[in-house]
Amino acid sequence: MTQPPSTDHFAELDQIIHVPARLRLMTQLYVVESADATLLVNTTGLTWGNLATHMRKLEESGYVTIKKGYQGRKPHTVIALSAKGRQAFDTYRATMQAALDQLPNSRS
Amino acid sequence: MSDFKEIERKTFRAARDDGLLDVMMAAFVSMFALAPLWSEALGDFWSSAVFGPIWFAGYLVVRYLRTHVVTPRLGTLEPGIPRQQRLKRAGIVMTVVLMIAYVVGVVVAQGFGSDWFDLGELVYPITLGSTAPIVFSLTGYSLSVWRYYPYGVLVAIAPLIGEWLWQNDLAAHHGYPVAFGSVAVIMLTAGIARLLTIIRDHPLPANPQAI
Repeated sequence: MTQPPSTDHFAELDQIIHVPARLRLMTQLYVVESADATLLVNTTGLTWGNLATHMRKLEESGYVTIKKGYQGRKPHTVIALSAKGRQAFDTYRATMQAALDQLPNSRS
Repeated sequence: MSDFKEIERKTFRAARDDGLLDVMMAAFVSMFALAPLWSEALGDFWSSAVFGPIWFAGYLVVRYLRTHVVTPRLGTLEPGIPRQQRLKRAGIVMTVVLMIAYVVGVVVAQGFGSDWFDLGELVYPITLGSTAPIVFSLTGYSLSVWRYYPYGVLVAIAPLIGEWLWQNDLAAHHGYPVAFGSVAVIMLTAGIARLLTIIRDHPLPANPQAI
């Protein structure tokens, strides 16, 4: 009888990033230097409320930096991935890749 | 890695592909359509030079639209380092190509009428035919907007089509008003359609940037 594949790598996944909404946000921020909140709402499909909640979580983890300012008279929030966030995302990708690689190719 | 490139392209286009550059391109191309019509009244120099203030006014309108209509709806970004390098490289190549075209144009224009260098009516087709595809392709490549590639082809073949129309007595002024006018209308239509799509699909957020 063959041993079931190990799921250790899945347990190692960064649970801050692993939430789908935050994974989408981190992916969007990974490919740019910075983006404002409107663009992130448009590209991820999140609501403003969801974006605020997830951004708070990412900011608390030190993965993003949030700069609040004004564009004209309107509030303008610019978000960027921090060095720690970029490193965490690279690690997440490598761990996920390793976790997927250890799965068998088919059920047989 | 290619998936990340695709995500980057989509993200970049989501912020920057607003159709306003198409409008500016149409304003530029319209010079070739309108200048021949105005040249009898204004002379060769002023029929082109008058576009300076027209373009500047157009630029101000485009800038206003970008600031007050597009950006609040689409948002903004600072591109990643690879995109910044791509934009820089494309800008340098574009500047060199345009400078070469400018120098060639001046040299050829100064040779008008002389026996040794009478290219005459071939100046526009040669200059545009070689410059337009490069410049528009570089723009399309650096901004990841595919529709700028056919624009370059259209601008390149417009003088040839115009010349053919003129030689067959189907159009006046070497056919430029018809040929370039059509290209300008295509660009303007595409740009305005893109802009209207953005306005329709992205209503202004009720409580913007409230995070």
